[in-house]
Amino acid sequence: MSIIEVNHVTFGYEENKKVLKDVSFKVEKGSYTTILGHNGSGKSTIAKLLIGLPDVIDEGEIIIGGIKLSEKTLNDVRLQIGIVFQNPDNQFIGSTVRDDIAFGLENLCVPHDDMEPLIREWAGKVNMLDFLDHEPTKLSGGQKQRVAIAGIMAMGPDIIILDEATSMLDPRGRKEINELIHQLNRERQMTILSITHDIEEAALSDAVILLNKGQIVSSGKPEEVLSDVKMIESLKLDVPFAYKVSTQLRAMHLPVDATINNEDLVNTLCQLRSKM
Amino acid sequence: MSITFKNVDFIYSPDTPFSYHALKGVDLDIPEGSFTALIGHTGSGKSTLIQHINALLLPSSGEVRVDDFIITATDKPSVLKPLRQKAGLVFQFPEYQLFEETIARDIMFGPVNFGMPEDEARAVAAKTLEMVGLNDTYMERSPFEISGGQKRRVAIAGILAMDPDILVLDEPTAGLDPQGAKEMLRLFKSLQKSGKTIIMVSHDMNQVLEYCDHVVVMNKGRIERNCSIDELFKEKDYLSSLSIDLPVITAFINDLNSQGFHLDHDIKDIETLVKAIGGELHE
Amino acid sequence: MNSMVFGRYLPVDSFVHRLDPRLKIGALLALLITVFFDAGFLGYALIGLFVVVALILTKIPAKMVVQAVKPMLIMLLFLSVFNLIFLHTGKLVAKVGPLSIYSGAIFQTIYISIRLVLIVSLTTILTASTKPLDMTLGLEHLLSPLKVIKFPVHEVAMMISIALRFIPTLVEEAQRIMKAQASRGVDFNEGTFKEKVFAIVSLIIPLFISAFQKADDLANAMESRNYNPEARRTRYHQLHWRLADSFVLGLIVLLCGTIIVMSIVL
Repeated sequence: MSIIEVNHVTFGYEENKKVLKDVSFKVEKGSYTTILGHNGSGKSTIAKLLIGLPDVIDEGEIIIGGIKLSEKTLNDVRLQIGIVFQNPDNQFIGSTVRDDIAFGLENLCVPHDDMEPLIREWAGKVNMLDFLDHEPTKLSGGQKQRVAIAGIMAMGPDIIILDEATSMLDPRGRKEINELIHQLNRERQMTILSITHDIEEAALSDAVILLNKGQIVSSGKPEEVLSDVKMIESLKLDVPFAYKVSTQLRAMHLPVDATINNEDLVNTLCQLRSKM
Repeated sequence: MSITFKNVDFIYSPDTPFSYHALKGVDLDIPEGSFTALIGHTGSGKSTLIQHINALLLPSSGEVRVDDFIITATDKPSVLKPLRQKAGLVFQFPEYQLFEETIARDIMFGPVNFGMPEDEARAVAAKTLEMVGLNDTYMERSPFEISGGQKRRVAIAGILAMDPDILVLDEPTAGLDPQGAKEMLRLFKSLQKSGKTIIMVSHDMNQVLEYCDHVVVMNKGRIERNCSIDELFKEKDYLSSLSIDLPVITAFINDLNSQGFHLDHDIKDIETLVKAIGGELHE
Repeated sequence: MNSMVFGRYLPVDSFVHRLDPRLKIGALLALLITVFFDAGFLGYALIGLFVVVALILTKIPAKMVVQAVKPMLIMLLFLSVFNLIFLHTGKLVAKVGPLSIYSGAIFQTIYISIRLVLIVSLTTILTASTKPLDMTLGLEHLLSPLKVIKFPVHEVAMMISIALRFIPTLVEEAQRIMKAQASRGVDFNEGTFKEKVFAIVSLIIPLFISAFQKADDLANAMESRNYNPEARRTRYHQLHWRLADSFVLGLIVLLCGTIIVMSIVL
């Protein structure tokens, strides 16, 4: 079942300058889907349109959880989706961790007495319970993004969109967020839509959508999409490491299947070695 | 242009409830003409350290020597201004420092501040713009109507136009797409080959392995490692204690070697790696 | 990571920290007005005593008070010189060259100094003991009667709280840009007038662009979390008026009353 349906969407912030041209794709419920594209391909615009920023598109329709996105349904759609933006600082609304998680709950009119347990629950799940009264300037980028995720999860959505949410983080922060997101995907069947230019992240996802100049140029399972070397390189992206190595080994007439997964390649090579 | 730190301490807002001890007893030599990577987590003191190299910050105690300049706690910033031309510092997300009406004027800004005549500076601007991969049709355009990646290039050109002997870069490729990052790094490598000393803060160990020759690791305000790239990536356990990932290729070699392969740990490129694997399997 | 002390929240737990922000804001206003009633040195001694006790109860280190007052010293010095030269009331006290110094001028100068120090100290007590958010909440409550005349109390409170939230971020940003421009040879301390104007332009333009970017991002983040300024919202923070608040309120009414009566009688 698809939870996100984008049908023939065309959109531009200015007349005659379309950022997205006839874009159609579906995201399966509970899947981890990545949208890959270089800077300026229109991938962030897709993320914003899905949560109705803005809620008017030039052509086509967006359907989230069976509801067609429009000005009237905006609130219902936003209830289903949470989005983590790129810049950790610019989306921290509250003066402290506690207040930031509370912000969304206040908007949903959650009664005062129900807020505290929800705040503690989600601060705990993202490992920020010891920082409840900390101000954003005293937190690392990774911690701020974790707070953003807690703030979203407390509101009970089905979908999380990551709009290059780890691109400004250091490796520790990136790892924390990636692990957290994968955990939410596994344990709570959250649908994840990650917008990124990290090819290795895409290699580990369930489905990949390739975007170039506002158009979808390829989509499907990562091993199919990412092994189209010509396509990947023409989009200024990197081919996955394992794919480069495995195809070059094949060229040396070694019995190695092309793969985009490092672990698979290590296993294949070790089996080959032990047969010798 | 050698860079030496001698027992440098730095404290932000000393004697207030908000004081913060950012550098602790830093001793450091950065070899002339090297491409040195500076790695460590946010808050490890990297940014504080690099701001000492062009005297934006003065040590609270100890001394920093850059070429003939000796920087101590009591120096007046104005005495050190010429140092800022010799040691060019590119901050993280430098595109936020653009402010002029045209790209040409923005790139000329630094050289003119250091006393270069305008017409000469314009010629330099045209040359550096080409170095960062933008042609001269960009000269008279506004720096605010180009893409984020192009803004980054213009901002870096603004520092390169000062023709510094030392180039300090704080995560110069953060947020760039892979192709753009590669082009920038190749430019820095070619600058090193022309004799400049390059210091680069980076979180991407693949970059560090491919382009740098020397590495300094900071943790909690101290220098913990100061060695060659090959030596650092042998210390698997130390790096994982800092949750720094090994370069993909090094991790891959480790995985294979732990299961019976005998590949050279120092291999840096895929071609050599493939040959080595092929060699072992064809034996 | 800046050295500015005035206006900063001091994260400790104290009697004053626990007081209701509505009380603290109201008290500050009342005291600031009272300071301008001339109740003689006895009056100032009374307020002074109150301020010292409050500073101690707020656990503000003496150093922090000194640092908060420091930036005012130049202004104070200027005012003093101005007063001593031009104010010719009271008795002639001394003649230094062409200058005549009168007793009125000396008293006036001392008064102004005392007032300034008191104002700065009082404000510091409020800002050091009240989290920006509580301050906004207090203001919102105090202003809520204005809703009757369609004044957008909630929106204004949200604006203030976001402004407060982003001040440290923008200060950091400004410092970053200044350093980046200093690396390109800008001298923010010395130079001719023209150079200084240029230096400031090189700071202001990037700062504005960055602030607009932040505002844009923040608006998106708020909207995506279902914020609607016109809709009803519940509030996580609730204010609780305690017995101690009533006690302090009484004390302040008494103090201000006494001073005002003294100034009228004397």
